[in-house]
Amino acid sequence: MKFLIDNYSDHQQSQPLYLNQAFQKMGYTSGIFDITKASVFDACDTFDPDIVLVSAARMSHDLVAYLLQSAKIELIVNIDNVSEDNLKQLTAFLKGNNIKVKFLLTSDYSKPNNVDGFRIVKIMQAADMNQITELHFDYHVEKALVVDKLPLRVGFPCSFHVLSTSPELNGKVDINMSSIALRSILPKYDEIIFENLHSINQLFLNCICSGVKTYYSNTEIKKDNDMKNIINKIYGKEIDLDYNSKDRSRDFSEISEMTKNKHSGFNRAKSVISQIKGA
Amino acid sequence: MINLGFYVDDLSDQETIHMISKEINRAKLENKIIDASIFYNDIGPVNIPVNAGMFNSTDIWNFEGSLIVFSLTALHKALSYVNKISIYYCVGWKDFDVLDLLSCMDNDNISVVAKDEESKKHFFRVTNKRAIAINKDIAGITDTILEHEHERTANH
Repeated sequence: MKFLIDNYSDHQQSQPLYLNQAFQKMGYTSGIFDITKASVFDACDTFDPDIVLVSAARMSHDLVAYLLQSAKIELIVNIDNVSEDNLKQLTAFLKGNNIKVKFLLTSDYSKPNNVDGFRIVKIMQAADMNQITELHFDYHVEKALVVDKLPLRVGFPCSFHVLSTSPELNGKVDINMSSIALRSILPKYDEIIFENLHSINQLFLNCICSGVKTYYSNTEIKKDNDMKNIINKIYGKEIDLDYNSKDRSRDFSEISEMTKNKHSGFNRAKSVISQIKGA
Repeated sequence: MINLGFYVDDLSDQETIHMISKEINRAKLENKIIDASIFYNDIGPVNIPVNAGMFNSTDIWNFEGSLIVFSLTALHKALSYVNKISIYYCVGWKDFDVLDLLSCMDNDNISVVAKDEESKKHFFRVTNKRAIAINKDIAGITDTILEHEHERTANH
């Protein structure tokens, strides 16, 4: 089975990249391309894929035109960050044009399991464990505070950096890079604290994988107990990662191994494959 | 006594040149420096008498002594020379990129002098390293360097 994957990676996640790597490791033929830059016709003619994985936000006229004249190719559409209305429009369009869709893919567990007859497969965000370029220099700073909006005040009495993956905060925080690029600096910190973490994201999992003490501090989110429950559910055991808790976890060796073994891109790729009959 | 060098981006930056000139005159009067040089990237008019030689930055290779820099661009260039230079980075004068600063600070040959208390705190926050002193308007930076060089020699 051949997969052709559009590189819909953004600052927050690199799902297409780690799925591509994992599919290749599993022995499938998989390739990645940029649907906004490369010709869909050239890519599909050359690669001859069985499945094209694309994000709803990046579906192009060319791709639709190619799929209409192809009896073989089936689509998997990532619908992360797609509103309910847009999702209905998308499914109506896919249905109206008889485009073959294996399933819709999302990491948003609040979405239904089925929309307009299309199955929605939910996979959690994952840690991207693939090789990255290491920093050519070394440093050690005590804390890193990860934010997605500017903090009102930061009061650590020690060395610390404010990090963000949000492009809107470029120039406003100490270090602003994509989640995948931040991986190279994670081991430089003793503690990484996510301020107001709404959901478990790729960077959070990568921080845990790195073995660095990783916490959330949900001071502005009232239901901070939810995050505790989510984490306990994910790891199947009681783990306290609340920075404001006296009993917060200090030893990350076990949780780091668990993340590597159960929440890597490879695990997510296995989940995707398990949903494809005959793969 | 030391050989003192200043590396500026633009020679026509009157405020900086005035500040440098004042410190050179003071240090010379107190017999603390052998010679003073100013290196620049961009040439421009200098409207005040300065008791120092002025050279294009390509001539830094020929300099031996303590070199004071004010920007990370100058710091990168100074680090690329392998001659006997002790580099003093004055933090607080120009904005910097944190990762760029950290990459430069991964070098034992650089000492940092802060512009003011705020710059000193900010530098510590982002690098986890201490500036050796605060020299407002670089006044007294020669004494800071002399003391630091003396301590460094004693420790070795």
